[in-house]
Amino acid sequence: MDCTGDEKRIRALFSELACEDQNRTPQFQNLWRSAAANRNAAAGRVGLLAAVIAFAVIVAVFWIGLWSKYRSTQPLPRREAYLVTTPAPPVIPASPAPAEQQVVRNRSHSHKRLTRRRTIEPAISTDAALLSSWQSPTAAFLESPAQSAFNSLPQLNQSVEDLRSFLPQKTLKESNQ
Amino acid sequence: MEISELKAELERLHHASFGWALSCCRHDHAEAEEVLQTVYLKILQGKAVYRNEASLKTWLFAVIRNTAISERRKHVLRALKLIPRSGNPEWREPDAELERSEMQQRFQQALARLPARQSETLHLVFYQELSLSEAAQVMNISIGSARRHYERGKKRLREALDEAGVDYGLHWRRKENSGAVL
Repeated sequence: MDCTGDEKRIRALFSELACEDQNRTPQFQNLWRSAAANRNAAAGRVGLLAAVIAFAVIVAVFWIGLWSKYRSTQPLPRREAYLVTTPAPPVIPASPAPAEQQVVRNRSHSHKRLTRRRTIEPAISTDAALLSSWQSPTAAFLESPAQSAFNSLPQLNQSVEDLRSFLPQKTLKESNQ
Repeated sequence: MEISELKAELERLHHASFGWALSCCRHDHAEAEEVLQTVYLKILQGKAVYRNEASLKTWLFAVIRNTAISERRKHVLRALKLIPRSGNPEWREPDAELERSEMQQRFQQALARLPARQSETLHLVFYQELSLSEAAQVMNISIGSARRHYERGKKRLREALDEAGVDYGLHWRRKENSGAVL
């Protein structure tokens, strides 16, 4: 009985609360129109954001294509320029990194690059000639008195002639007779 | 369900939806209105889709509850600044019915002292006239849990009403039968 009475009491209080809330409820059409307006505004913002992102992607792809094309069109003299900047031959392989970075940094200055290339080309040919005529300082140790014999073809009867030089004069006269 | 049919059903349930939103928002009128508008926006955007898995009312109330929880998380600082009582002075009852409003204020204060799950269960059963199984679906809990919250909520509410001196029995009889001798 108490439970039933309590439930009735609670239900009555809630019913009164429902009546009060009904008087305070905003109009459905107002809320629905506001929601529809917010949806259109949100759709517009999403569309604008998508357009901005697409434009940024296109610009990025364009610049990447330009950059890769620029890198591929750079000829060998760039590597030889790295060689010029280093004095000692063993150090040559290590030089490309700083020179390459320098060229990368000065990419925008095309006039300076052309001037540098013109001054480097004569020096390149001179150094190439020097390198081709370079001889080892210890090459003399590889030479021997018999090197001429190694480098020449043997002659017919050469051994006979040489042997005769070892024979005494008397023996030679007898053999000639 | 077509959007036009759904709109008609939502309009039919609008008063009940707002009452439930008020309960989820601790009877903050502005917050409840914002929550309900957000729910309608979700439905229009297709973020909340009714798939006929339960009754429309049950599904709608679940969406309202989840939206209220997420909105409360977003506006925590604003909620802390609000006055605890149901708020807007424009909605105050006229002086002639001050007694009932005061009683309702005490009743709402007693409800506010209950844990959230118990208060929600009592609201769904007594205010929205849902069954316990439907209330469990709205709150996404088992029927056993819903029954526990219901029984404990009733007991605690009765104790809170007795402490607050809400003698609704007399007032209720007077309202139903004004000529009755008490």
